[in-house]
Amino acid sequence: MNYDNPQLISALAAEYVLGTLRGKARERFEALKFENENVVKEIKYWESHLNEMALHLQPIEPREYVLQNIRQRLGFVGAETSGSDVPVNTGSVRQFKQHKSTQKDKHIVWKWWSGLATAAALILAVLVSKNIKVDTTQQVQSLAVISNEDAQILWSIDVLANDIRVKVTSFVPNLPNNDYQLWIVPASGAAPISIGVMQQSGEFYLSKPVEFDNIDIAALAVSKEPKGGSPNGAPTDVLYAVELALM
Amino acid sequence: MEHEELFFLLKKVAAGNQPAFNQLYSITSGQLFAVALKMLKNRDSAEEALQEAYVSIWYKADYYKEGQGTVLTWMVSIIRYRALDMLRSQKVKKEDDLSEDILSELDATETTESGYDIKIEGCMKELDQQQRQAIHLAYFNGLSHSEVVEHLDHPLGTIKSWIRRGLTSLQRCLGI
Repeated sequence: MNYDNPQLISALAAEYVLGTLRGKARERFEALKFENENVVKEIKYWESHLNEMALHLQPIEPREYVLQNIRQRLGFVGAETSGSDVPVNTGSVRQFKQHKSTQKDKHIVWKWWSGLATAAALILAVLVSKNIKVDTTQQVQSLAVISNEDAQILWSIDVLANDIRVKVTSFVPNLPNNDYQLWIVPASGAAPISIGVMQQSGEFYLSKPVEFDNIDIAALAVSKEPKGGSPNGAPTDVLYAVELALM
Repeated sequence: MEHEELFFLLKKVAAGNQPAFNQLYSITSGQLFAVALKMLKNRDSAEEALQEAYVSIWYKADYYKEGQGTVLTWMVSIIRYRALDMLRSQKVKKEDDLSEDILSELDATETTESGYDIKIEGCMKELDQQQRQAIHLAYFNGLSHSEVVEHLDHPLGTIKSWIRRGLTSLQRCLGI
């Protein structure tokens, strides 16, 4: 495909913003954002016009706890919500309905985390300094390679400026009835943050959560989940984790 | 909801001003929530998307540049991409727990005049009815080509053509 063709770029940008550009085509176009400034320009053009249509919708107020959750995630909230009934963190509003079990869930999370030291999996991670003065958003900021106990590489994970690129090798067992899910494990001890459900083959991109560049990360983890991802916003069965090491 | 007011708040947010963030949320969250709810058809999922969007807005406030649309269209972009990601990764709960009242309100407001002086409104009206309907379904409901096919009961090639030609006509109209 000739991405130097302005009409083609504009047409693809329109369908990207509209949302009808899907699958591999969307991933390829997203990757182009990092190397072709005309792509960014066209996307901004269509965003500025198409998203005016959203102003037709009458505002509908979200429930009050949403703002409190956001403030908690951003670290605004100290004592003001402690002891309250407001569910916090994790990014999953579904936990609102399950907040009585939140503390239990945290214990489960930390049970697997503390047990990782004895895991048989061979895990290798290399973190490249983020201070290198390169301006391209395609620059790999950090990377992790997750291998199994036989030293066979399962996933290679490149952390880019805005996305996370995952390459899946043929050694990853196919799970017809489950999905693999990638997580951030915050160093603060807060609950893991989902990066997304992973494809089981090939190469793909996941959006980099905004927290990635704004919190201290203890590890990346891969869990086994029911189809569609974690049902409650917390990892179900952690298979691998990689402790990031600054170089 | 004037652009200048939102831009003033966003600049403060970019500087780390928490009260400005609260005010920005207070003014805009209803609009963004309506967008997410319309696409995801599920209150919990829409509120999850809303949380992600505002966390992103806090961290990326200084990415907004004037001349690339209004602050509000920039914020709508953020919530729509988040909702699209959720639809793509099938993270949205299947069951539809929205009340009939909210669903009918969402359907009704789609065609209501917004009161904004927006060029796209006039340009959309100039499209063929089928093109307009296909673009509306994709935009407001986050539907793929194949999903639009299910709604409009026409072949995939026809739907793709309607959307492609509709967008081309929009671009021509917007450029005038």
